[in-house]
Amino acid sequence: MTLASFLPLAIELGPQGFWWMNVLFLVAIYSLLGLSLNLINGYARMFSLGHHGFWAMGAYGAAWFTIQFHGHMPGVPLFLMSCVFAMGVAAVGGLLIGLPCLRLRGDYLAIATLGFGEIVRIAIQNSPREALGGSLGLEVPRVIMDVTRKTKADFRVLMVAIGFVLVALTAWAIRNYIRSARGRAMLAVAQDETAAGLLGINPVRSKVLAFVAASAVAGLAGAVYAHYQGIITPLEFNFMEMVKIFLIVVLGGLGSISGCVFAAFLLIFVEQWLAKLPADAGFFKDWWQVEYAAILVLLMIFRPRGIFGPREITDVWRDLKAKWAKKRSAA
Amino acid sequence: MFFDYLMNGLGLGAIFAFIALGYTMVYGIIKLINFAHGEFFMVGAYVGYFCLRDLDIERVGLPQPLPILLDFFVALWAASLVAGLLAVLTERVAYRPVRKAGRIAALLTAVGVSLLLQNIAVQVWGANPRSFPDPRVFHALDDLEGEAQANYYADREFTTTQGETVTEAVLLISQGDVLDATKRASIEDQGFDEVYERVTLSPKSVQYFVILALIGWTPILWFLVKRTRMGKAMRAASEDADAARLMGININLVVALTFFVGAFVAGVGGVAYIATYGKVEPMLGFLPGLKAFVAAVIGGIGSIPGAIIGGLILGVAEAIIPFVLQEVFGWEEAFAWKDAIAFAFLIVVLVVKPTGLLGKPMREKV
Amino acid sequence: MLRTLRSLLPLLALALALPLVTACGGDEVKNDGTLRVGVVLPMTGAQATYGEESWNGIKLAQSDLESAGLPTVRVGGEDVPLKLNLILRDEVSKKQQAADNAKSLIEGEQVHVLLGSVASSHTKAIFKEAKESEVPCISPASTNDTLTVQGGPYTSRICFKDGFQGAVLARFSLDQGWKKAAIVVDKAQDYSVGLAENYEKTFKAGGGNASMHYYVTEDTDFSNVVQNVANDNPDVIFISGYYAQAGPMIKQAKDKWAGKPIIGGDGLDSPELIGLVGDTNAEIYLTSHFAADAPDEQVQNFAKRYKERFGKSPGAMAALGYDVLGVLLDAVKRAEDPFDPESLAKAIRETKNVKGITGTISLDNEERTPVKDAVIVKVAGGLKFHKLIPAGGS
Repeated sequence: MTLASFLPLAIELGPQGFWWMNVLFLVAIYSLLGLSLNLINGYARMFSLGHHGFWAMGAYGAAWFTIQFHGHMPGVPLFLMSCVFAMGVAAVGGLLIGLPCLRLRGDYLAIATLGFGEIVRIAIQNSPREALGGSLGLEVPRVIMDVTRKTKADFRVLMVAIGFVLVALTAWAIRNYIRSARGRAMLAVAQDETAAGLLGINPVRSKVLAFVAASAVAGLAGAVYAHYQGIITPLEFNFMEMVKIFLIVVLGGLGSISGCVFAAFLLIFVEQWLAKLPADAGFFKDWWQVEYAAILVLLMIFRPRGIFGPREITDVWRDLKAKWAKKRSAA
Repeated sequence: MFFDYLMNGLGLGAIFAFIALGYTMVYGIIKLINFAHGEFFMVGAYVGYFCLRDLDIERVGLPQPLPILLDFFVALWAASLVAGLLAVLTERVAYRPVRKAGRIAALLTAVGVSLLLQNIAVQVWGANPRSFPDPRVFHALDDLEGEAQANYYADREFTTTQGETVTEAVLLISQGDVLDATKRASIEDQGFDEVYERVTLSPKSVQYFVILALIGWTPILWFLVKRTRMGKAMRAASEDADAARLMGININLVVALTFFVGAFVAGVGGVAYIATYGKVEPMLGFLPGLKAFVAAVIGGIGSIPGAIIGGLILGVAEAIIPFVLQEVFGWEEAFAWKDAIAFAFLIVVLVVKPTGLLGKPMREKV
Repeated sequence: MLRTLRSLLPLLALALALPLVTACGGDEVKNDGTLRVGVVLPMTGAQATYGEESWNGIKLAQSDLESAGLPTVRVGGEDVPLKLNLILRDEVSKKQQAADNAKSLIEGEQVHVLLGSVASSHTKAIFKEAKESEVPCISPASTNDTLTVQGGPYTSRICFKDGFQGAVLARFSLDQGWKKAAIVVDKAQDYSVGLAENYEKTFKAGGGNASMHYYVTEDTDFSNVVQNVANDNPDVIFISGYYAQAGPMIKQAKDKWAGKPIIGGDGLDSPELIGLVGDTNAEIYLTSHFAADAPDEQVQNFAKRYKERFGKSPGAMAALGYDVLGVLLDAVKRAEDPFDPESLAKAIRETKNVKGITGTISLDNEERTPVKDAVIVKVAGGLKFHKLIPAGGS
């Protein structure tokens, strides 16, 4: 039983459509990663550089689970359960690194989590081939639907839809959490740990909770990513990915949800568009990695607090409208 | 046997220490993890490489082993100066504008600069690893008849006396094989107008040199920081930048100078690195840079003796822990895990001593 | 919830609207007898020399085939001359980019066939795309054993696999009288791990004694692994990995390995190797697909023309690149409809006795991997032809 049997989509996508679907899917994944890192770095004001490790744990957790139970279970429940399993694995990872390291402050926490992320990657890389595929990577069976020439477009659209539903759910959950008593406690700890402690807030619990929740979301992103890609290898969860996620969070504005999604879109779009250029496109193509890095440095110099700052895009829009209205009335 | 691994560890650790010094000095003053520091190291390595390859001090005909020592002397100075100036330039163009914008923006700028320098290096020098110039002798005998081979050493063009341009030929001469007068003459007969020798430095002797260099540099840095006016200014700035400014210290100058000194030392490390491991490539700065940062954190970031001790400890840990796991516990794969072991070691050190070995405990401001 | 959703609304709307807009723009490219060939190779990054050589080989093959006259194909009941349109994408030596390139070539450029790549894990990702999109794909140089089996009937390769290469190296070692081998393995490369396992199996079955030592691709300091090997005091050292690491490793081992013979697989076969190794007193042998100075007229001819055009001697990847286009064109000639993926894939599978620079290539239905000759190359001031190991034998 696959999803295709009750969802006869039969979507047709043109060449551009396929490309857009791929971009949008990656936007959804990086948004999830960005949103969850935002919880740690933006709201809880901890400095984590190990998010790629949780992402990898989720991807490999889901892949392993799917391979183990493939054929013993119908596809859709297997997909869902593998996602839950992946979240669990990543959350346990978050707890394991979170508990000992939350004593650490600022940059010390950053480097410890970075170390953790690298350890995860190296461990997967060195794993026996039968267990986690070692350096060759794991092939994830297609479970939600068979992917063939005919159903490929359906699959892409479906995955994009799943991705954005998850982004919306995560955004909603984070928003609500921040407004709950626990969330406010977390913000208080982020402001001033000692003072928050004196008010009776347990800073360790608040921090660990943020860390574990963020890891779980990163794990979820990993699971969906693994199901989409079909093959995962340890090398793709490297420190450069961490930089990308971090960049999305900062460009989006620390603590801004829609900004994060927008930054993910911008970054992935530029990257994929540059990569799509034919290899002989000349100077522009040859130097694209230099251009990419230069754009990054310039953005940081001119917009150090994010493209729109820590505001939501709707706020930016409202302000702009107000400004225009003022101008018009002045005129 | 144990001693061999210890020496390997110390040699690597000394290089980590050279890089970690710059990390720690910059961090001490502006609290910035300068991710681009590994790239200053890489640029230093490239400059050293070009000096050693193209200086050709051998052609002057000084007695051995003077040429090789002169080569290294010039290479070290050039590498350090270029790395230092690049650091000052980077600080001025990229870091100064974001210094006020918060530490996270500064950190990401540093990552961006690191990427930028790496990719510029890829474009300018190519992505392929290049071999550190070996001791070599021009050779045109049997191996060269199929000129196809000459390509393999495509470093630069070389004109023979017959007027044809061939690529430089490199003889892979066996150890102990000497270029005697007859052989030399026969090479010259082949049309190569310049024949000269280079003396070899074995990887092992380079290791000793690197450790000696670190020992030599430590008092210089100590003097610089503790006994000069500039050093005093640096320490004042790292204690409290605003107060230092109010006392009339030119913070911008102090920061620029700190970048310069840090990258200067990293340049020394760069030359030491290629001399030990025999290869330069644009990505060369990334992993050693990261490890050196880890070393600086282990030693207690902001502390100069901490960077040296942290570097040496990390280098030794990377060699000795897998060695023990392999020899004592019979774990064959231990060395494939050495990076993971290094990071695990870091986490353990931090959990036991959250500010590193020599780091100052952080003050709580309520 | 509402507010969050509202702030995400423009993006969601964009996400949903885009495929609708672009779906209309997806017009089929009109068939005028042009065969679109997507090529995915590492043109930059760690394996850049492999990409460059392969691409040069492919380009040389293209001009050779075109000057010899391309066949005519039937399009809409008319015979039109075939045209080749090669579309190159750089995978920057990264698996994810390789997969994205394959996607964009299949879906964006609507290629009829894919060629690529070199590193096995990258080819694996490309094969996965080819399999699901049902587009034929030929790898010129990926030797990992399981690739084509997992890739399915649309995927094939024109080089031998590691099972054969490892056995050749092991038998060569035994023939030389080396009984004790130290195998140095790059744990981060599946190619390396697989080849080492194959070597060990044959070597031990032949009465040899082997030990494994590990490093990883990112390493530049090999002093410890070098020391490990030296402690074992082996008769021969087998470096199962790529030239970019093997070269510096051999250089760093100059004192400690004391001139012991070194052997390696085709991952070491690069013109760069000699420069990286530098001054050595060790005998080094490699297995490869091709040697530019092999005593074979066709090889000599190829090497000469390659050198004229690109100013360099060809390596194995160049020859494989040349052959992969030859195999493809042979299949195009035989296919009922070369523009139909199924019939082209079938024709590729049925490749029989195509004489290439790297040997005679026949594919089979099981593994779509040829049984080919291997060459043993000696490294002595260059890559020198040493010995031909005929297909299937040792």
